[in-house]
Amino acid sequence: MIRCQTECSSRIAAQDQLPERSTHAMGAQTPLDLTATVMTPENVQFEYRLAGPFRRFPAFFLDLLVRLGAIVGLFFFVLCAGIPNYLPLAGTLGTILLIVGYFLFDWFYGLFFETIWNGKTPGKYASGLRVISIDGRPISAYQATIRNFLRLGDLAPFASLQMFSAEAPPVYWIPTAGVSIACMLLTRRMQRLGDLAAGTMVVIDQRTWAPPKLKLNDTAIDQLVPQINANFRVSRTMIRTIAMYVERRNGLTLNKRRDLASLLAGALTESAGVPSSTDPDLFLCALYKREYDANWKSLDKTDVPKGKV
Amino acid sequence: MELDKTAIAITQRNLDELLDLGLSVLRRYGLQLIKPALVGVLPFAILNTLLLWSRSTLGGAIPDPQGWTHILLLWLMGILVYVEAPLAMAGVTIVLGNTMFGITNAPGTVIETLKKQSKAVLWVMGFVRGIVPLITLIAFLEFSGINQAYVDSAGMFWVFLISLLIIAIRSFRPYAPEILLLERCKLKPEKSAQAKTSLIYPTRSARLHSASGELFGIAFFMGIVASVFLLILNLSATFMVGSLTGQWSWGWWMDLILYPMALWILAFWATIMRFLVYMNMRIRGEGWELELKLKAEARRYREAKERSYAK
Repeated sequence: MIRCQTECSSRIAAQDQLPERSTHAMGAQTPLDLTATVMTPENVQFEYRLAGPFRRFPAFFLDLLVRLGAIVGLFFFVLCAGIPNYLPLAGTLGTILLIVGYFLFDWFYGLFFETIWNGKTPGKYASGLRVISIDGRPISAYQATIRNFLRLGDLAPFASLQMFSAEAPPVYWIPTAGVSIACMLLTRRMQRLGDLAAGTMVVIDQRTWAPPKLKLNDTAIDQLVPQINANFRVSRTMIRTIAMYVERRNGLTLNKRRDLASLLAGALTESAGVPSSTDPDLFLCALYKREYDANWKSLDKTDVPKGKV
Repeated sequence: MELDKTAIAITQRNLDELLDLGLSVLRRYGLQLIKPALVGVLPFAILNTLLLWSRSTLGGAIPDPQGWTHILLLWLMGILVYVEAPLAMAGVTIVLGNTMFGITNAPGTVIETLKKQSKAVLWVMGFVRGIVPLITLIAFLEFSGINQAYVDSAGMFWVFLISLLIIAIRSFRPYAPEILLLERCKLKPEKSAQAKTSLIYPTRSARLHSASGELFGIAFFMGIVASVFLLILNLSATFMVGSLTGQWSWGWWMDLILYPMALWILAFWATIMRFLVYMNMRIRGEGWELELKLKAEARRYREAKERSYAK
């Protein structure tokens, strides 16, 4: 995902506006993925990875815990501050304080954080999520208000306790979240009711990519590194692809490794100045090692390898 | 197989991404998948209703939502749908596979695939995975006229035992429908020289299901998610019925219509999820995503090189 911070008005990509058809010929449609494409008037295309209900649930749960923690903290503050001992109306005052506190935390928590923290709440931050407008712009206070105030509607329908026991009080207390699941199921951007009303969507806030530090314990790789032409440069997208290969090659059979590595190595060996008979798997590993040592090793503060190959 | 022309983008995903993707698949291909699902489900739904009819209030049972007879009705209906789902959703699995790789989904092609694999499907999914034994046992217990107290205690113990066995088999070896219906593996090696080289079901199953710990973890997690979904569907259905008719307690329509419907909806969703997890395993194991990315990178590099020569 690339962040779209431009304040200029943008429009949804034409591709995104097309109504989807359920066709038999799959070539007629773009492959289904959890992405939303946004196009600016400058014709710059941004792609965001969407977060659906399952990706959003941990964030929701964390925020719920934070809110509950804050309310419990307020309760203990009222109790420990000794308010019940000093004021004649302390019991009532404490109750009012708790009710007001609960109301504020429950209704304004999301609004407050999403407005001042660029679409993030503590739960969303921990889960790597962010709320943005459907045109890619940062969320406004107005949008944050709408989407947070409609949260109650999203949790509907509420089930009665009497469904479990006839003797229970007739209180509709159990949120089923059926409305939000139905909305997310029916919308392309996986928006809940609040998102639809506010014109927002929740996306995965990808952090800056850094190549993983991989331990390549093979003398053949070490011997191959100096053989690669010093002037041979690889692009950033290519190093990402090679990093992905090096990271995952352990789960592949030897034949599969060679088959896959040769797809790219075949195009590079000549320019890299290594013989075309070089093992493609070793070549890609050596290339990765060289690039990592040259560009990122100095930035790496930890000596603990993130992966072992 | 053209990996860059698939209906669902070839990318390795986490389980939470797959769960979200499952909803997207439902949205985009739901209508296409509902027909084979209905054809497969209808006979089993009728059979289940007939089997458990006597346990419903319509069949003469005393209305007691918290009573043992009612709990057994719900449990038996749940386990029957769980056991029957892979066979009932065989058509959905075939249509999903065809859709993924752009193969035309004419009813004839789906029936032909089922016909070709019918022996293996009936043996593995019908007998080994317990559909026939479980239905036979329940039918015997319900219709043999033996003492009801015995049926509800010792009889149900055997049903429980067989169900546990089926759950264990399905948790550790979940992709039998995909192996049989999409990869079209046979049970035994065939005589022709060409067919001899292709993998047979036991070998393929052992290879695909080698990561048993991971598979059990996925099954366990999916079980929790499915239970929550079932609760949501039932509570929402009760709310809808209550709002429309004023009847808030569970009646025969919940037991025989809405509850089984919720179970079949879950089975439909679970079939899509199983297919997505299976695809993800193949993407990872066979390096499909890597293949696409490496090819694209090589193409980009060659094009850039040609452009620089042209200048």
